[in-house]
Amino acid sequence: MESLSISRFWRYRRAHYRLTGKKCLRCERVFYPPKRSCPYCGSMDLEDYDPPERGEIIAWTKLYETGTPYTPYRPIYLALVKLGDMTALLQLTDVTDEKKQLRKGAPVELVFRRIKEDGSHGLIYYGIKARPAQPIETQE
Amino acid sequence: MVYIRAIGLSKVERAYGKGLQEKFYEAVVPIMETTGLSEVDTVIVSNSFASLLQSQNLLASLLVEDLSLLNVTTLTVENGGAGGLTALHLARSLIKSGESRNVLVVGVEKTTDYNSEYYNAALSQLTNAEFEAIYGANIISQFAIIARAYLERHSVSEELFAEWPVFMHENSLNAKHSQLRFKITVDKVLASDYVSSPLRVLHSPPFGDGAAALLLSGERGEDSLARIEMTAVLNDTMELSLRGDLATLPSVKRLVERLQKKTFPPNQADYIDVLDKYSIAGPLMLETMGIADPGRILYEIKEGKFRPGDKPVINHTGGAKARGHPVGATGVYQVAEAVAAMHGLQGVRGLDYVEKAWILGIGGPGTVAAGAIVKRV
Ligand SMILES: [Zn+2]
Repeated sequence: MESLSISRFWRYRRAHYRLTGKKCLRCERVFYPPKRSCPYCGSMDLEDYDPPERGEIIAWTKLYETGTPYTPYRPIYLALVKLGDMTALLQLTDVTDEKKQLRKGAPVELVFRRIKEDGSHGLIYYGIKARPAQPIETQE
Repeated sequence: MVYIRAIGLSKVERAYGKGLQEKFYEAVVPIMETTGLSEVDTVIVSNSFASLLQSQNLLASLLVEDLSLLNVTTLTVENGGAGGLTALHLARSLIKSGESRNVLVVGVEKTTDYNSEYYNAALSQLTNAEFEAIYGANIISQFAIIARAYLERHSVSEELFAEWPVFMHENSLNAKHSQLRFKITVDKVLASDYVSSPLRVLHSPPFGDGAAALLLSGERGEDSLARIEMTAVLNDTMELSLRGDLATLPSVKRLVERLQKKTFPPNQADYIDVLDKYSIAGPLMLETMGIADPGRILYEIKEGKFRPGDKPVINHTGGAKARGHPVGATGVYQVAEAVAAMHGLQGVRGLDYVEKAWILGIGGPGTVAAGAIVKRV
Protein backbone atom coordinates (compact mmCIF):
# COMPACT_ATOMS: atom_id res chain seq x y z
CA MET A 1 0.00 0.00 0.00
CA GLU A 2 2.81 2.44 -0.83
CA SER A 3 0.42 5.04 -2.12
CA LEU A 4 2.14 8.40 -2.07
CA SER A 5 0.98 10.50 -4.95
CA ILE A 6 2.23 13.98 -5.69
CA SER A 7 -1.04 15.15 -7.23
CA ARG A 8 -3.16 13.69 -4.45
CA PHE A 9 -1.25 15.60 -1.80
CA TRP A 10 -0.83 18.76 -3.86
CA ARG A 11 -4.58 18.99 -4.47
CA TYR A 12 -5.17 19.65 -0.76
CA ARG A 13 -1.97 21.63 -0.11
CA ARG A 14 -3.76 24.53 1.61
CA ALA A 15 -5.23 22.08 4.07
CA HIS A 16 -2.01 20.12 4.57
CA TYR A 17 0.30 23.17 4.80
CA ARG A 18 -1.95 25.67 6.60
CA LEU A 19 -4.89 23.65 7.91
CA THR A 20 -7.23 25.96 6.02
CA GLY A 21 -10.79 25.07 6.94
CA LYS A 22 -14.11 26.74 6.19
CA LYS A 23 -16.24 29.24 8.05
CA CYS A 24 -19.97 29.28 7.44
CA LEU A 25 -21.27 32.77 6.77
CA ARG A 26 -24.78 31.84 7.85
CA CYS A 27 -24.30 30.04 11.20
CA GLU A 28 -20.71 31.28 11.69
CA ARG A 29 -19.40 27.88 12.68
CA VAL A 30 -15.97 26.78 11.51
CA PHE A 31 -15.09 23.30 10.37
CA TYR A 32 -12.27 21.09 9.13
CA PRO A 33 -11.72 19.29 6.81
CA PRO A 34 -13.18 21.70 4.25
CA LYS A 35 -16.49 20.75 2.57
CA ARG A 36 -18.68 22.49 0.04
CA SER A 37 -21.56 22.86 2.45
CA CYS A 38 -21.76 23.54 6.16
CA PRO A 39 -22.20 20.29 8.13
CA TYR A 40 -24.20 22.17 10.77
CA CYS A 41 -26.72 24.24 8.80
CA GLY A 42 -26.29 23.16 5.18
CA SER A 43 -25.37 26.61 3.87
CA MET A 44 -23.05 26.74 0.89
CA ASP A 45 -22.05 30.30 1.70
CA LEU A 46 -18.57 29.65 3.08
CA GLU A 47 -15.21 31.35 3.33
CA ASP A 48 -11.72 30.05 4.06
CA TYR A 49 -10.61 30.00 7.67
CA ASP A 50 -6.96 29.84 8.72
CA PRO A 51 -6.77 28.69 12.34
CA PRO A 52 -4.45 30.20 14.97
CA GLU A 53 -1.18 28.36 15.59
CA ARG A 54 -1.96 27.62 19.21
CA GLY A 55 -4.74 25.54 20.61
CA GLU A 56 -5.61 22.80 23.06
CA ILE A 57 -6.19 19.05 23.20
CA ILE A 58 -9.78 17.80 23.26
CA ALA A 59 -9.01 14.05 23.32
CA TRP A 60 -5.93 12.00 22.42
CA THR A 61 -4.66 8.49 21.90
CA LYS A 62 -1.34 6.72 21.54
CA LEU A 63 -1.76 4.39 18.57
CA TYR A 64 0.40 1.25 18.49
CA GLU A 65 -1.56 -0.67 15.86
CA THR A 66 -0.58 1.47 12.90
CA GLY A 67 -0.79 0.23 9.35
CA THR A 68 1.62 0.34 6.45
CA PRO A 69 3.42 2.77 5.86
CA TYR A 70 3.34 4.12 9.45
CA THR A 71 4.72 0.98 11.06
CA PRO A 72 8.30 2.37 11.40
CA TYR A 73 7.01 5.40 13.34
CA ARG A 74 4.85 3.58 15.86
CA PRO A 75 3.52 4.32 18.34
CA ILE A 76 2.13 7.61 17.10
CA TYR A 77 0.11 10.14 19.06
CA LEU A 78 -3.12 11.43 17.55
CA ALA A 79 -5.40 14.05 18.99
CA LEU A 80 -8.45 16.08 18.25
CA VAL A 81 -7.18 19.60 18.73
CA LYS A 82 -9.17 22.80 19.16
CA LEU A 83 -7.59 25.71 17.26
CA GLY A 84 -9.59 28.87 17.73
CA ASP A 85 -13.07 28.05 16.41
CA MET A 86 -11.86 25.00 14.50
CA THR A 87 -11.30 21.36 15.45
CA ALA A 88 -8.84 19.11 13.60
CA LEU A 89 -7.43 15.62 13.97
CA LEU A 90 -3.64 15.88 14.02
CA GLN A 91 -0.57 13.88 14.87
CA LEU A 92 1.13 15.03 18.05
CA THR A 93 4.91 15.19 18.06
CA ASP A 94 7.71 15.96 20.54
CA VAL A 95 5.81 14.42 23.44
CA THR A 96 8.23 14.00 26.35
CA ASP A 97 5.91 13.71 29.34
CA GLU A 98 2.55 12.09 28.67
CA LYS A 99 1.10 12.78 32.09
CA LYS A 100 1.86 16.51 31.95
CA GLN A 101 1.42 17.22 28.27
CA LEU A 102 -1.47 14.99 27.22
CA ARG A 103 -4.77 15.78 28.85
CA LYS A 104 -7.95 17.56 27.98
CA GLY A 105 -7.23 21.29 27.74
CA ALA A 106 -3.43 20.94 27.49
CA PRO A 107 -1.91 23.63 25.23
CA VAL A 108 -0.38 22.72 21.85
CA GLU A 109 1.18 24.64 18.98
CA LEU A 110 1.42 23.82 15.30
CA VAL A 111 4.68 22.80 13.65
CA PHE A 112 5.65 21.86 10.10
CA ARG A 113 6.99 18.32 9.91
CA ARG A 114 7.52 15.27 7.76
CA ILE A 115 4.28 13.25 7.62
CA LYS A 116 5.32 10.16 5.68
CA GLU A 117 7.63 9.02 2.97
CA ASP A 118 7.79 6.47 0.24
CA GLY A 119 11.04 4.58 0.72
CA SER A 120 11.31 3.16 -2.77
CA HIS A 121 10.67 6.41 -4.66
CA GLY A 122 11.98 9.00 -2.23
CA LEU A 123 8.71 10.91 -2.09
CA ILE A 124 8.07 12.79 1.14
CA TYR A 125 4.87 14.41 2.39
CA TYR A 126 5.29 17.38 4.70
CA GLY A 127 2.48 18.85 6.71
CA ILE A 128 1.22 20.16 10.02
CA LYS A 129 1.56 18.42 13.35
CA ALA A 130 0.89 19.70 16.85
CA ARG A 131 3.36 19.65 19.75
CA PRO A 132 2.93 20.33 23.45
CA ALA A 133 3.32 24.04 24.24
CA GLN A 134 4.08 26.05 27.35
CA PRO A 135 0.98 27.59 28.87
CA ILE A 136 0.83 31.34 28.22
CA GLU A 137 2.10 33.02 31.39
CA THR A 138 -0.25 35.55 32.89
CA GLN A 139 1.48 38.83 33.84
CA GLU A 140 1.69 39.45 37.56
CA MET B 1 -43.94 -8.36 4.31
CA VAL B 2 -40.48 -9.84 4.13
CA TYR B 3 -39.65 -13.20 5.70
CA ILE B 4 -36.44 -15.01 6.55
CA ARG B 5 -36.75 -18.54 5.22
CA ALA B 6 -33.32 -19.95 5.96
CA ILE B 7 -30.02 -18.99 7.53
CA GLY B 8 -26.39 -20.07 7.24
CA LEU B 9 -23.67 -19.52 9.84
CA SER B 10 -20.07 -20.50 9.23
CA LYS B 11 -17.33 -20.52 11.84
CA VAL B 12 -15.54 -17.22 12.34
CA GLU B 13 -11.92 -18.32 12.20
CA ARG B 14 -8.43 -17.80 10.91
CA ALA B 15 -9.00 -19.99 7.89
CA TYR B 16 -5.68 -20.08 6.10
CA GLY B 17 -6.90 -22.90 3.88
CA LYS B 18 -10.03 -21.07 2.76
CA GLY B 19 -10.54 -18.06 0.54
CA LEU B 20 -13.58 -15.87 -0.07
CA GLN B 21 -15.00 -18.56 -2.31
CA GLU B 22 -14.77 -21.30 0.33
CA LYS B 23 -16.19 -19.19 3.15
CA PHE B 24 -19.04 -17.97 0.96
CA TYR B 25 -19.95 -21.53 0.00
CA GLU B 26 -19.78 -22.72 3.60
CA ALA B 27 -22.34 -20.12 4.65
CA VAL B 28 -24.73 -21.02 1.84
CA VAL B 29 -24.61 -24.81 2.37
CA PRO B 30 -27.17 -24.85 5.24
CA ILE B 31 -29.58 -22.94 2.98
CA MET B 32 -29.02 -25.34 0.07
CA GLU B 33 -29.71 -28.21 2.45
CA THR B 34 -33.01 -26.77 3.74
CA THR B 35 -34.95 -24.59 1.32
CA GLY B 36 -32.62 -24.88 -1.66
CA LEU B 37 -31.73 -22.05 -4.00
CA SER B 38 -33.98 -22.76 -6.97
CA GLU B 39 -36.25 -19.78 -6.36
CA VAL B 40 -33.44 -17.27 -5.78
CA ASP B 41 -33.61 -14.38 -8.26
CA THR B 42 -31.27 -11.91 -6.53
CA VAL B 43 -27.97 -12.29 -4.67
CA ILE B 44 -26.52 -9.46 -2.58
CA VAL B 45 -23.02 -9.88 -1.20
CA SER B 46 -21.71 -7.63 1.55
CA ASN B 47 -17.94 -7.25 1.77
CA SER B 48 -15.56 -4.47 2.74
CA PHE B 49 -12.00 -5.27 1.78
CA ALA B 50 -11.83 -7.84 -1.03
CA SER B 51 -10.90 -5.10 -3.47
CA LEU B 52 -7.79 -4.41 -1.39
CA LEU B 53 -6.99 -7.67 0.39
CA GLN B 54 -7.86 -10.17 -2.35
CA SER B 55 -7.51 -7.79 -5.32
CA GLN B 56 -11.06 -8.77 -6.27
CA ASN B 57 -14.02 -6.73 -7.47
CA LEU B 58 -17.41 -7.81 -8.83
CA LEU B 59 -17.60 -10.18 -5.92
CA ALA B 60 -21.26 -11.22 -6.01
CA SER B 61 -21.10 -12.21 -9.65
CA LEU B 62 -17.93 -14.21 -9.12
CA LEU B 63 -19.06 -16.03 -6.00
CA VAL B 64 -22.43 -17.19 -7.34
CA GLU B 65 -20.54 -19.20 -9.96
CA ASP B 66 -20.20 -21.84 -7.25
CA LEU B 67 -23.98 -22.04 -6.86
CA SER B 68 -25.03 -22.75 -10.46
CA LEU B 69 -27.14 -19.62 -10.42
CA LEU B 70 -27.61 -18.02 -13.82
CA ASN B 71 -29.74 -15.06 -14.81
CA VAL B 72 -29.91 -13.71 -11.29
CA THR B 73 -29.45 -10.09 -10.24
CA THR B 74 -26.09 -9.74 -8.47
CA LEU B 75 -25.04 -6.84 -6.31
CA THR B 76 -22.03 -6.20 -4.06
CA VAL B 77 -22.41 -3.85 -1.10
CA GLU B 78 -19.70 -1.99 0.79
CA ASN B 79 -20.75 -0.01 3.86
CA GLY B 80 -18.01 -0.89 6.34
CA GLY B 81 -19.20 -2.82 9.38
CA ALA B 82 -22.76 -1.78 8.55
CA GLY B 83 -22.54 -3.54 5.17
CA GLY B 84 -24.39 -6.70 6.18
CA LEU B 85 -27.37 -4.80 7.55
CA THR B 86 -27.23 -2.49 4.55
CA ALA B 87 -27.47 -5.52 2.26
CA LEU B 88 -30.48 -6.67 4.25
CA HIS B 89 -32.04 -3.22 3.89
CA LEU B 90 -31.56 -3.39 0.11
CA ALA B 91 -32.94 -6.92 -0.05
CA ARG B 92 -36.04 -5.92 1.89
CA SER B 93 -36.52 -2.88 -0.33
CA LEU B 94 -36.24 -4.95 -3.51
CA ILE B 95 -38.77 -7.46 -2.24
CA LYS B 96 -41.18 -4.79 -1.01
CA SER B 97 -41.03 -3.04 -4.37
CA GLY B 98 -41.84 -6.29 -6.18
CA GLU B 99 -38.59 -6.20 -8.12
CA SER B 100 -37.30 -9.36 -6.44
CA ARG B 101 -39.08 -12.31 -4.86
CA ASN B 102 -36.36 -14.42 -3.24
CA VAL B 103 -33.11 -12.77 -2.24
CA LEU B 104 -29.98 -14.49 -0.98
CA VAL B 105 -27.95 -12.13 1.24
CA VAL B 106 -24.41 -13.23 2.05
CA GLY B 107 -21.82 -11.36 4.06
CA VAL B 108 -18.26 -12.53 3.54
CA GLU B 109 -14.88 -11.20 4.65
CA LYS B 110 -11.39 -12.62 4.52
CA THR B 111 -8.98 -10.60 6.69
CA THR B 112 -6.14 -13.02 7.44
CA ASP B 113 -4.31 -13.25 4.13
CA TYR B 114 -1.69 -10.67 5.16
CA ASN B 115 -0.02 -9.47 8.34
CA SER B 116 -1.67 -7.11 10.80
CA GLU B 117 0.14 -4.02 9.48
CA TYR B 118 -1.51 -4.52 6.13
CA TYR B 119 -4.90 -5.17 7.67
CA ASN B 120 -4.51 -2.06 9.85
CA ALA B 121 -3.91 -0.11 6.66
CA ALA B 122 -7.20 -1.52 5.36
CA LEU B 123 -8.87 -0.37 8.58
CA SER B 124 -7.59 3.15 7.89
CA GLN B 125 -9.89 3.16 4.85
CA LEU B 126 -12.81 3.50 7.28
CA THR B 127 -11.59 7.05 8.01
CA ASN B 128 -11.16 10.02 5.66
CA ALA B 129 -8.21 9.03 3.48
CA GLU B 130 -7.10 12.58 2.65
CA PHE B 131 -7.50 14.23 6.05
CA GLU B 132 -7.38 11.52 8.73
CA ALA B 133 -5.70 8.36 7.44
CA ILE B 134 -2.95 10.49 5.94
CA TYR B 135 -1.85 11.33 9.49
CA GLY B 136 -1.81 7.66 10.45
CA ALA B 137 -5.34 7.44 11.85
CA ASN B 138 -7.39 4.28 11.47
CA ILE B 139 -10.60 2.92 12.91
CA ILE B 140 -8.77 1.88 16.09
CA SER B 141 -7.47 5.38 16.85
CA GLN B 142 -10.89 6.89 16.15
CA PHE B 143 -12.65 4.58 18.61
CA ALA B 144 -9.83 5.16 21.10
CA ILE B 145 -10.55 8.89 21.00
CA ILE B 146 -14.28 8.22 21.38
CA ALA B 147 -13.55 5.83 24.27
CA ARG B 148 -11.37 8.43 26.00
CA ALA B 149 -14.20 10.97 25.74
CA TYR B 150 -16.76 8.48 27.11
CA LEU B 151 -14.61 7.31 30.02
CA GLU B 152 -13.79 10.91 31.01
CA ARG B 153 -17.37 12.14 30.64
CA HIS B 154 -18.84 9.47 32.89
CA SER B 155 -15.83 8.87 35.15
CA VAL B 156 -15.74 5.22 34.08
CA SER B 157 -12.55 3.46 35.20
CA GLU B 158 -10.54 1.12 32.99
CA GLU B 159 -11.57 -1.71 35.38
CA LEU B 160 -15.25 -1.04 34.76
CA PHE B 161 -14.69 -0.65 31.02
CA ALA B 162 -13.09 -4.12 31.02
CA GLU B 163 -16.46 -5.59 32.00
CA TRP B 164 -17.55 -5.32 28.37
CA PRO B 165 -15.02 -7.78 26.87
CA VAL B 166 -15.48 -10.05 29.90
CA PHE B 167 -19.24 -10.12 29.21
CA MET B 168 -18.70 -10.77 25.49
CA HIS B 169 -16.34 -13.69 26.11
CA GLU B 170 -18.86 -15.19 28.54
CA ASN B 171 -21.48 -15.00 25.76
CA SER B 172 -19.22 -16.57 23.16
CA LEU B 173 -19.96 -19.94 24.74
CA ASN B 174 -23.57 -19.60 23.49
CA ALA B 175 -22.58 -20.14 19.85
CA LYS B 176 -20.45 -22.81 18.22
CA HIS B 177 -19.42 -20.52 15.36
CA SER B 178 -17.98 -17.80 17.61
CA GLN B 179 -14.28 -17.23 17.04
CA LEU B 180 -13.04 -16.92 20.64
CA ARG B 181 -14.94 -19.39 22.81
CA PHE B 182 -13.42 -18.91 26.24
CA LYS B 183 -13.88 -16.71 29.27
CA ILE B 184 -11.53 -13.93 30.30
CA THR B 185 -11.21 -11.82 33.45
CA VAL B 186 -10.97 -8.10 34.15
CA ASP B 187 -7.35 -8.64 35.27
CA LYS B 188 -6.54 -10.29 31.99
CA VAL B 189 -8.01 -7.37 30.04
CA LEU B 190 -6.02 -4.88 32.09
CA ALA B 191 -2.83 -6.90 31.64
CA SER B 192 -3.13 -6.85 27.84
CA ASP B 193 -1.18 -4.24 25.88
CA TYR B 194 -2.66 -1.04 24.57
CA VAL B 195 -3.49 -1.04 20.88
CA SER B 196 -4.48 2.62 21.07
CA SER B 197 -4.91 3.99 24.58
CA PRO B 198 -7.31 3.54 26.38
CA LEU B 199 -8.14 0.55 24.14
CA ARG B 200 -6.25 -2.68 24.73
CA VAL B 201 -5.73 -5.90 22.80
CA LEU B 202 -8.59 -7.46 24.74
CA HIS B 203 -10.98 -4.68 23.75
CA SER B 204 -10.36 -5.38 20.08
CA PRO B 205 -12.11 -7.78 17.73
CA PRO B 206 -9.84 -10.65 16.65
CA PHE B 207 -8.68 -10.90 13.05
CA GLY B 208 -10.95 -13.45 11.47
CA ASP B 209 -12.56 -14.75 8.33
CA GLY B 210 -16.28 -15.29 8.19
CA ALA B 211 -19.40 -15.67 6.12
CA ALA B 212 -23.08 -15.81 6.98
CA ALA B 213 -26.18 -16.01 4.82
CA LEU B 214 -29.91 -15.28 4.84
CA LEU B 215 -32.59 -16.34 2.40
CA LEU B 216 -35.39 -13.77 2.23
CA SER B 217 -38.76 -14.08 0.61
CA GLY B 218 -41.77 -11.87 0.04
CA GLU B 219 -44.12 -14.69 0.87
CA ARG B 220 -44.67 -16.47 4.13
CA GLY B 221 -44.14 -20.17 3.76
CA GLU B 222 -44.28 -23.14 6.09
CA ASP B 223 -40.52 -22.87 6.45
CA SER B 224 -40.45 -19.17 7.38
CA LEU B 225 -38.40 -18.52 10.52
CA ALA B 226 -38.86 -14.80 11.12
CA ARG B 227 -40.33 -11.63 9.72
CA ILE B 228 -38.36 -8.46 9.08
CA GLU B 229 -40.43 -5.67 10.57
CA MET B 230 -38.19 -2.78 9.62
CA THR B 231 -34.73 -1.90 8.38
CA ALA B 232 -32.97 1.45 8.04
CA VAL B 233 -29.58 2.92 7.17
CA LEU B 234 -28.58 6.48 8.15
CA ASN B 235 -25.41 8.54 7.83
CA ASP B 236 -23.36 10.83 10.03
CA THR B 237 -20.05 12.61 9.44
CA MET B 238 -17.01 10.43 8.92
CA GLU B 239 -14.63 12.87 10.60
CA LEU B 240 -14.58 13.11 14.37
CA SER B 241 -13.58 16.78 14.01
CA LEU B 242 -17.05 17.59 12.63
CA ARG B 243 -18.92 16.06 15.56
CA GLY B 244 -20.00 18.09 18.51
CA ASP B 245 -20.07 15.47 21.23
CA LEU B 246 -17.53 12.66 20.96
CA ALA B 247 -19.14 10.58 23.69
CA THR B 248 -22.24 9.86 21.60
CA LEU B 249 -23.01 8.31 18.20
CA PRO B 250 -25.48 10.66 16.47
CA SER B 251 -26.11 8.28 13.56
CA VAL B 252 -27.26 5.60 16.00
CA LYS B 253 -29.48 8.05 17.85
CA ARG B 254 -31.32 9.03 14.68
CA LEU B 255 -31.51 5.43 13.52
CA VAL B 256 -33.08 4.31 16.79
CA GLU B 257 -35.65 7.11 16.52
CA ARG B 258 -36.53 6.06 13.00
CA LEU B 259 -36.79 2.35 13.75
CA GLN B 260 -38.89 2.69 16.87
CA LYS B 261 -41.32 5.14 15.29
CA LYS B 262 -42.50 2.38 12.94
CA THR B 263 -42.21 -0.52 15.39
CA PHE B 264 -41.56 -0.56 19.15
CA PRO B 265 -38.95 0.92 21.49
CA PRO B 266 -35.72 -1.01 22.17
CA ASN B 267 -36.61 -1.59 25.83
CA GLN B 268 -39.45 -3.83 24.64
CA ALA B 269 -37.07 -6.10 22.71
CA ASP B 270 -36.32 -9.59 24.05
CA TYR B 271 -33.02 -9.76 22.23
CA ILE B 272 -30.57 -7.01 21.30
CA ASP B 273 -27.38 -7.31 19.30
CA VAL B 274 -25.13 -4.30 18.77
CA LEU B 275 -21.86 -4.07 16.87
CA ASP B 276 -19.52 -3.44 19.80
CA LYS B 277 -16.49 -2.27 17.83
CA TYR B 278 -13.49 -1.88 20.12
CA SER B 279 -15.77 -2.51 23.10
CA ILE B 280 -16.71 1.16 23.42
CA ALA B 281 -19.35 1.06 20.67
CA GLY B 282 -21.32 -1.51 22.70
CA PRO B 283 -22.06 0.66 25.75
CA LEU B 284 -22.51 3.73 23.57
CA MET B 285 -25.13 2.09 21.34
CA LEU B 286 -27.03 0.49 24.21
CA GLU B 287 -27.19 3.76 26.13
CA THR B 288 -28.32 5.55 22.98
CA MET B 289 -31.11 2.97 22.77
CA GLY B 290 -32.15 3.84 26.31
CA ILE B 291 -31.32 0.41 27.75
CA ALA B 292 -29.46 2.22 30.54
CA ASP B 293 -28.81 5.84 31.46
CA PRO B 294 -25.68 7.40 29.96
CA GLY B 295 -22.60 6.07 31.72
CA ARG B 296 -24.53 3.30 33.54
CA ILE B 297 -24.67 0.23 31.29
CA LEU B 298 -21.32 -1.20 32.41
CA TYR B 299 -22.49 -1.19 36.04
CA GLU B 300 -25.60 -3.13 35.05
CA ILE B 301 -23.57 -5.63 33.05
CA LYS B 302 -21.28 -6.10 36.04
CA GLU B 303 -24.34 -6.74 38.20
CA GLY B 304 -25.21 -9.68 35.95
CA LYS B 305 -28.04 -8.30 33.81
CA PHE B 306 -28.76 -9.09 30.13
CA ARG B 307 -27.88 -12.79 30.38
CA PRO B 308 -29.91 -15.69 28.87
CA GLY B 309 -33.33 -15.65 30.48
CA ASP B 310 -33.27 -11.84 30.86
CA LYS B 311 -35.16 -9.36 28.70
CA PRO B 312 -33.40 -8.10 26.82
CA VAL B 313 -30.59 -10.57 26.39
CA ILE B 314 -27.66 -8.68 24.85
CA ASN B 315 -25.01 -9.84 22.36
CA HIS B 316 -25.90 -13.47 23.00
CA THR B 317 -23.19 -14.87 20.71
CA GLY B 318 -20.27 -12.79 21.98
CA GLY B 319 -20.38 -9.62 19.91
CA ALA B 320 -17.58 -8.32 17.72
CA LYS B 321 -15.20 -8.97 20.61
CA ALA B 322 -15.68 -12.73 20.87
CA ARG B 323 -17.89 -13.94 18.04
CA GLY B 324 -15.54 -11.96 15.85
CA HIS B 325 -15.97 -9.13 13.38
CA PRO B 326 -15.41 -10.13 9.76
CA VAL B 327 -16.35 -6.63 8.75
CA GLY B 328 -18.75 -6.90 5.81
CA ALA B 329 -20.14 -10.19 7.09
CA THR B 330 -20.91 -9.17 10.66
CA GLY B 331 -24.34 -7.63 10.06
CA VAL B 332 -25.53 -10.82 8.36
CA TYR B 333 -24.22 -12.83 11.31
CA GLN B 334 -26.08 -10.58 13.73
CA VAL B 335 -29.44 -11.18 12.01
CA ALA B 336 -28.89 -14.90 11.35
CA GLU B 337 -27.88 -15.39 15.00
CA ALA B 338 -31.03 -13.70 16.28
CA VAL B 339 -33.09 -16.11 14.16
CA ALA B 340 -30.92 -19.04 15.26
CA ALA B 341 -31.48 -18.11 18.93
CA MET B 342 -35.26 -17.90 18.38
CA HIS B 343 -35.34 -21.45 17.05
CA GLY B 344 -32.20 -23.04 18.55
CA LEU B 345 -30.52 -23.60 15.18
CA GLN B 346 -26.98 -24.22 13.91
CA GLY B 347 -25.20 -24.43 17.24
CA VAL B 348 -26.65 -21.25 18.76
CA ARG B 349 -28.09 -21.70 22.26
CA GLY B 350 -31.85 -21.40 21.87
CA LEU B 351 -33.87 -18.80 23.80
CA ASP B 352 -37.47 -19.92 23.44
CA TYR B 353 -38.90 -16.70 24.90
CA VAL B 354 -37.32 -14.49 22.27
CA GLU B 355 -39.98 -13.07 19.93
CA LYS B 356 -38.65 -9.63 19.08
CA ALA B 357 -35.08 -8.62 18.25
CA TRP B 358 -33.33 -5.30 17.69
CA ILE B 359 -30.11 -5.50 15.71
CA LEU B 360 -27.82 -2.53 15.16
CA GLY B 361 -24.55 -2.05 13.34
CA ILE B 362 -22.24 0.79 12.42
CA GLY B 363 -19.76 1.41 9.64
CA GLY B 364 -16.59 3.35 10.43
CA PRO B 365 -16.63 5.31 13.69
CA GLY B 366 -20.42 5.60 13.49
CA THR B 367 -20.17 7.13 10.03
CA VAL B 368 -23.17 5.09 9.01
CA ALA B 369 -25.63 3.23 11.21
CA ALA B 370 -27.85 0.39 10.07
CA GLY B 371 -30.48 -1.59 11.88
CA ALA B 372 -33.11 -4.28 11.61
CA ILE B 373 -36.07 -5.32 13.71
CA VAL B 374 -36.91 -8.99 13.42
CA LYS B 375 -39.87 -10.94 14.82
CA ARG B 376 -40.17 -14.68 15.13
CA VAL B 377 -42.95 -16.37 13.18
ZN1 LIG C 1 -23.57 26.76 8.83
